[in-house]
Amino acid sequence: MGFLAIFENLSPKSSLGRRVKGRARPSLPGEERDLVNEYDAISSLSRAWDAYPEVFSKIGGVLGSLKDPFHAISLLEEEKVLTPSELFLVAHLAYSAGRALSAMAEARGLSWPERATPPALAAVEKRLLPGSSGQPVFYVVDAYSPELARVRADRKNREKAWRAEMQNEAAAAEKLVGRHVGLREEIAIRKSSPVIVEKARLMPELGETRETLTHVHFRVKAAREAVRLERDINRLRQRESALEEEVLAGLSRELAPKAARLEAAAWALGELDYLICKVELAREWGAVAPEVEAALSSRLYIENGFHPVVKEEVEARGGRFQPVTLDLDPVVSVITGPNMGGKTVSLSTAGLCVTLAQYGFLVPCSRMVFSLYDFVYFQPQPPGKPGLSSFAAEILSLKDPLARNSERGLILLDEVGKGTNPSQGLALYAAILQHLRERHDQRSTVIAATHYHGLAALVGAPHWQVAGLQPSEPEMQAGNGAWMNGARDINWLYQHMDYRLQKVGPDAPTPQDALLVARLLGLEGDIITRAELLVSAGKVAEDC
Amino acid sequence: MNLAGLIWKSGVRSLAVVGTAKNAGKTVTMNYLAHELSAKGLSVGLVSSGRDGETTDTFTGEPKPSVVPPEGSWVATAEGVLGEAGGLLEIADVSERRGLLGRLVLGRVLESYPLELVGPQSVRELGDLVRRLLSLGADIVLVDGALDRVAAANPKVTEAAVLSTGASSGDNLNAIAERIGFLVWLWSRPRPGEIWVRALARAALDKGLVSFLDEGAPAARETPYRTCLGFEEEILSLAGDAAYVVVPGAVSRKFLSEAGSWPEREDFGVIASSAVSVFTTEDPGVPIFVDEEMRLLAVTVNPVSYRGISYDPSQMVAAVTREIGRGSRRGLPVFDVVSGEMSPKEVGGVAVG
Repeated sequence: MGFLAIFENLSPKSSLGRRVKGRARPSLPGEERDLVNEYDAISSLSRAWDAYPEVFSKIGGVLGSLKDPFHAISLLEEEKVLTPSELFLVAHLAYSAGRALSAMAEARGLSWPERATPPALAAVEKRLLPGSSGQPVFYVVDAYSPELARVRADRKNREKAWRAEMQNEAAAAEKLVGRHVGLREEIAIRKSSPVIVEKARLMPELGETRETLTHVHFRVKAAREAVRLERDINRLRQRESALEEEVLAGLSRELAPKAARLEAAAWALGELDYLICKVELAREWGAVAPEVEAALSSRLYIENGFHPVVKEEVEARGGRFQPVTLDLDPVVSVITGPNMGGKTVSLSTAGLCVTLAQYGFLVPCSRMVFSLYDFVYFQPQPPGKPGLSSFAAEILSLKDPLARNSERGLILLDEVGKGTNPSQGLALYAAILQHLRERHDQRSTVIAATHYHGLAALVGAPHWQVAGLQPSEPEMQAGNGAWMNGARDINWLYQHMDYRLQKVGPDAPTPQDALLVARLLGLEGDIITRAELLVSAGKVAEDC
Repeated sequence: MNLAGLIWKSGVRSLAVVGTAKNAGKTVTMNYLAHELSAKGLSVGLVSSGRDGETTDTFTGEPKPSVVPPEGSWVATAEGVLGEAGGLLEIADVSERRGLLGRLVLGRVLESYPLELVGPQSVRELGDLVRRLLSLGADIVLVDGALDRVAAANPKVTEAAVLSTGASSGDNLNAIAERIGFLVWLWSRPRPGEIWVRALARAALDKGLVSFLDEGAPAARETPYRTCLGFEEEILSLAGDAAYVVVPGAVSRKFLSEAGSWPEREDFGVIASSAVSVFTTEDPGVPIFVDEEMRLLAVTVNPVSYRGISYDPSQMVAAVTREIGRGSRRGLPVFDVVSGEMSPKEVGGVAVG
């Protein structure tokens, strides 16, 4: 049907948006109001996009840089202490919520859906990003703890003093080796300079660390004052780490009661991301909001509907895409048409539009009227299961919608019974449709595509038919169907097929064009001629 | 002009520092550049491809130098290895993906302190990380790499590279100089001269298929192979009288060796995506070209080896300089950042010494 491909290609900008997308589910009967609200929100935002493009650009920027804070939030709920990385993520969430709200407010008069509007987290932002402007960053700043500020200042002063002390010691070493010496550097002196090695060994400022084949290594030795300062610095570093831990614990305790609000903000930003994806898709397709009927009925109206994937393929090969209009009211409707006539596309377009609508998307058509279904069944292609014929696979698959008598379904059947004896296939197909009509009692909508002549009459169902091949007038004027025998190819078929669905009588004959299509697809002419002779000689029934 | 001045003047915004062996002095070079460029007023970014910073050499047991990012520099590290340095880092970004060492943390250093750099190994992720650090405010990003972590030097990651070699790279000074000389030659491989060759080669690499370029043909002749590894003979047997073969991914020594035998043309050339994709330790005798050229700026030498052998810094610099500029080679300036020794006069178009 194509829904999965479209849905999977939808790309929210953030992991939060992907989370929301991951839990998307269709609206079911009884949820009409929420669904209509969703359509209104998308339509409203789509209109606002043209008036305030910069707002959506800003929001896109915020969404694109969103981080996933859920692990940090769960730690807060468990009353655990957050690490600086986790606090950064919480700070980033607060910052992003603020920027999103600020951008949203610029679209004057626009009402944003509540679920996509994050709660303000200004207090959290201020607490975690004091004095911040521009890029959000997190650090355990001095402002969190006067004691921490004091210890840091003390440590830095002592480090400065230590460097000064060590520099005094290093000066002598620099004079000896003739270059700058790092305070913690291991100085290597070549043994081929024994005088320098000896001098170094005698210097109180240097301590020998090791000896190799070619070098003797030394370090600048800390004098007593430098040793004392090193001890103080180590003690202060430990105190500093402990105070930083206290700050982290304190911030975590402050944030814990706000966990629910933070979580709400995260989900709201995710909802905003997913909602904007739907708006972008609607704008790309020129999609419309479906009209949802309050009372459940089997009516399904789709005007000028198109399947975006098929349309793209057709246009890519230079063809013209004809939209589909379906106006179905009774439970069961039958569609017939020539091979390559678009019957399957009609079915999948109907299924796609309904599925998109119930997942809260606007739909690719000019108008749609429907009521919600409990399920959509689109008869799958025969599976490649070993040991199962295509007919057997079809029957097994059909058991599911047939059993769901108490539910409303959109049931799309494509040439049931084609894999078996034609007369029995027709009988089976008709019986299935009659069963569905009786058991589903006006609740469901069933569309059955077929090549079998007489199915609509057998079931007493409305009969829709693809208009079919329309050769050009000069070709028709050649007379006697001679145009059918000319050199053609599949592109000719694409160009001359009229895909419109027309209501016809129940007994209207199904188009007999398989041999023409085979010829157009390049099957050897000799084979086509033989087949035509068999048909005209009555050796094979022309219809079933 | 010293090494820092050379890098500063080049204007590059990303630079790989690639060690060609253990103990080559790569970390010393990284620290030197970080501090010197910072002193010139540049905001430096520091990244490692993979994990740098074992505190002791796993082979020799000797203590290894740590990267000590200067105050104000930007670094990429991981939650699991922050340790005491965590309190000295202003966190500006945290990755969503968790690796073995936790999430990647990007931040600005508030106080200079030894820090373990951690980064991704894939070209794409490393390139993204470099660009992220530049967007955060770094003026230049230094990427730590090695011959077994060559992503750092890939032109898609960094604009230029510095090679670090050392006394532990060979048994004697000549062997060391020859090895680095060859590496410089290999990493200086040019793009093909003809425009038609460049265009077809680029298209073939984008498609990811080993392809042949025939003289006068409007398109590359594709093979079904996406790699030459393990299919060297099968691929080259299809060469015919092609002028070039274009190879996405790694180009093996075996492929280069076979490339001299199979094709009909004597001037048959091999085109790789970049020089870091070519794995050979000697000139294969087959012309080698690249789609993206690497910009080598300099070589650094560490004259002291962990085995206790060391060389006179000036002799080592001179030997390496001579070997790099041998024959028709362009030449590159060579530096020992500890002793301050550097190549004499003008080398490779750069005034040094």
